[in-house]
Amino acid sequence: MRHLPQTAALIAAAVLLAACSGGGSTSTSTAPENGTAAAGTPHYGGTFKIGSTSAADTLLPIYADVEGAGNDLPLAYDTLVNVDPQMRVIPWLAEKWDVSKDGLTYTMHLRHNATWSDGQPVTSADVMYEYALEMDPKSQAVYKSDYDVIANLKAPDKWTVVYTLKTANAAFLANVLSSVQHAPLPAHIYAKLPHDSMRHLDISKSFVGDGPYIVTEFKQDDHMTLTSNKTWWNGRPYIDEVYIKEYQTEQAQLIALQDGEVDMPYILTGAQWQGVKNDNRFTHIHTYANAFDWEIPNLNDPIMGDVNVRRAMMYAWDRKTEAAKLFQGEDIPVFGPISLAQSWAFDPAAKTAFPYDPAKAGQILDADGWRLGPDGVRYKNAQPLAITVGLISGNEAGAKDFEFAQAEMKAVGIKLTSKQSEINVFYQNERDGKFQLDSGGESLSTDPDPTLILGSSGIPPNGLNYARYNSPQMDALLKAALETTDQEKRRALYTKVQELAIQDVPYLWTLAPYYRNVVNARVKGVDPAQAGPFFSYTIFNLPKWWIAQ
Amino acid sequence: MSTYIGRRLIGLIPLLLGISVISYAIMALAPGGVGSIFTHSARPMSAADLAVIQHQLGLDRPWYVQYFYWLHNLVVNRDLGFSFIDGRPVMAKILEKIPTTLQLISISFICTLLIAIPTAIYAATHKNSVVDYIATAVAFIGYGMPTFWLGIMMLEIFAVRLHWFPASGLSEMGSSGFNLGDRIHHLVLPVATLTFVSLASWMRYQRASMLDVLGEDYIRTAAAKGLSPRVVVYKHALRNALLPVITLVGLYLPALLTGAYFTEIVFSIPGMGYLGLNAIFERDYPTIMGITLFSAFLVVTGNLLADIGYAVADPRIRYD
Repeated sequence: MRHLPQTAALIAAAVLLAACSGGGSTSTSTAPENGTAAAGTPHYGGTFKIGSTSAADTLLPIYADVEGAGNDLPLAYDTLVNVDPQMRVIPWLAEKWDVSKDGLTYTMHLRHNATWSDGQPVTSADVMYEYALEMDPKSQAVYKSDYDVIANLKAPDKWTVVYTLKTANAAFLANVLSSVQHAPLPAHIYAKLPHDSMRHLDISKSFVGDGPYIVTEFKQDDHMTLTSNKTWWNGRPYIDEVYIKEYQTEQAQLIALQDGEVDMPYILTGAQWQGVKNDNRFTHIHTYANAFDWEIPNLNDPIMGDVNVRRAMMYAWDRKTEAAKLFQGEDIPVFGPISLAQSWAFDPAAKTAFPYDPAKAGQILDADGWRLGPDGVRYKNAQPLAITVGLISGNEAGAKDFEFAQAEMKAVGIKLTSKQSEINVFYQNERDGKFQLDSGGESLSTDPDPTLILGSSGIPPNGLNYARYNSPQMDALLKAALETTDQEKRRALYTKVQELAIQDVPYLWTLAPYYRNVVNARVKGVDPAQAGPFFSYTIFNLPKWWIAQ
Repeated sequence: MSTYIGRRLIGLIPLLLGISVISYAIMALAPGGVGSIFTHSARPMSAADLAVIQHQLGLDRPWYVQYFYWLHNLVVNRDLGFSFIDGRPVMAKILEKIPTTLQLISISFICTLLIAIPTAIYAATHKNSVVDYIATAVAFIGYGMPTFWLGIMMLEIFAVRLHWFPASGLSEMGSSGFNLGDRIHHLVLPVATLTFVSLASWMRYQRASMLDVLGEDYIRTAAAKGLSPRVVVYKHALRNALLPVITLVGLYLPALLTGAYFTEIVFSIPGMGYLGLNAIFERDYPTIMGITLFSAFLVVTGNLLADIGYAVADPRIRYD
């Protein structure tokens, strides 16, 4: 079942679709129609129009949320390192770096040719300023806790910064330094301002950035206009202007796409994708999303804390039929904490761990003492095997998915009932542990490290381990995988992580969605094989795209 | 009259105060809480950082203490505070959006009157005619339709299928500056939506009022002394028939405002509706309170103006 709301756009109680999204590596793609991908000669000019249901609220990246400004601002700010569509960490503002043998020290060497849009060079002072700004609670930076891994930051010279970590953390570059929320800020402009004034600072009329595009107009809730940075260190972008238009419903965004009013949306829902997937006016992007859908059991609950109940549910759930009926036959059963997009760490066994086998589910429950009662529901010590599933109200997809699961579970004697909650209440209940089984979806971080959802340190209020899964063995594996930078060793450790997750079933993983999108064929240079598993990865190559004449 | 207006204006203060207390209490006591906006994303804020921010925003205090600080800031500094979401002043956010909403409301209102009053007059003077029945049927169809549903249907038919009008926004994407033709083109569907759902009330009120007046002795006298039917209807009957309808202006403002909010969302018009909806989803207390207060102010002011207008128009009404 899925909920993961991508946007809060809602028309009364009638229209609300939730979408799953994430970031990850390109795994599959369709060929561009009509040979549009690489036709013609690149040239400068034109406007690329993006439609969004979740555009930026702010132009300062330290206040950027993941789905709004987090999508737009990578066009306007560069980070020290970047992640390419294959989710590999690559040099960006830092042209190279050294990691100490103990994995504690990262020495980042900044390129000398990067400048702010006012002509000033991007230097270590900008990195130091941004770090100090975020670390000061007065700034109210949203993702300050990402920096908790850092013991200290020093700038030995104008072009070098040295991060010393508290403990070795192989995910540091991918999860922290590649995030636009931690992009350097122009110290020569902001350093003189008090930190507690930054939250209220309006920079829309005097924007200074260092990315491929410069914000020239920002009208909140309506649009953002960006003009190409002619002196960008990685070469002037071909497209002169990017216009990001905010739509208040996914339907309006789709209409604008079909009418040619926008060239590309942030994301298409499964149903919307069906409507455009054969339309040759578009270049199609179809890759594994860096996300999965799951049921979150509260392991402190007497029923959901029983691993045999969770295992039985995994066998009793026909995910292939679920995918065919509800998700256009596209989503893929995956039974582990690492997404298909995180291909180097993904263990293929996670795709086959729990084949649909209701008979086996019944045997597991029988052996565990859950006996079928005359009403078709199983009982143990007079307690019925009845589970309440939490859903976000208004999520039609989640409600349909629940109905499917309800029928599946009924067949093996498990009674599911649903309880709908308003979105903020739903998350509050998850944090407070006031739920039995919640229906959800999760976008994952760039690095496959699943400590936030499986580590005991991730148990709320400090993480996303809403199941309250607490396994010393898992903690040790996760720690070991973070402490080595050797990818082969990490792969082996994550295979063990997935095996343990399959054994303990801390979550009921269901399906892995695709990231689906289209780009108007008038935009050239779009190579679907180079498009990443989420919007921000897909536009990674935007500076190399151009508009057909 | 001036005494009456003074009394009414003074009466607005406790009324708005009451509205603000009740609104704040409902908002702050609703389960879920502001913290949700920081913690339910893929990268949650740590508990310690969240506690610091909640303290800075005053959210660790009881709701009535929060309300007191909000009210104090409003009364002493004439400031609605800063948005929790983007840190911008709420006043600036509302002032940025309110012209759009007022534009939509006022144009729809004018269109409603221009259609409803002549139709109602015709229906009243041709009671039980085919036109009367059709007008009544059409009005009630509009009355029974949810605004957002009608908006979606308008979009689907006139924007998606027929491509007669743009589907969203107030101007051509990427255009710079104001273009009247472009603005009208973009406003047709949202104004038509809002007008259609408003027609029924106005037509029915006006028709009933007109029928009442047409049965009065002075109308019969006017007709008997040989005045033309046009003069009887438009000079003698209409002026009197408009009086009860004036009260409808005040009563109808809340519905018009609500309808405008939904219409803005359907047609992606960045007005108060979208601002309010996002603020509610994101538990942005200062913005919710700002919009509530502005909306309440518009409504009570509308009511007051209707009462004053009634007194001005009808010499029989005396408030002193």
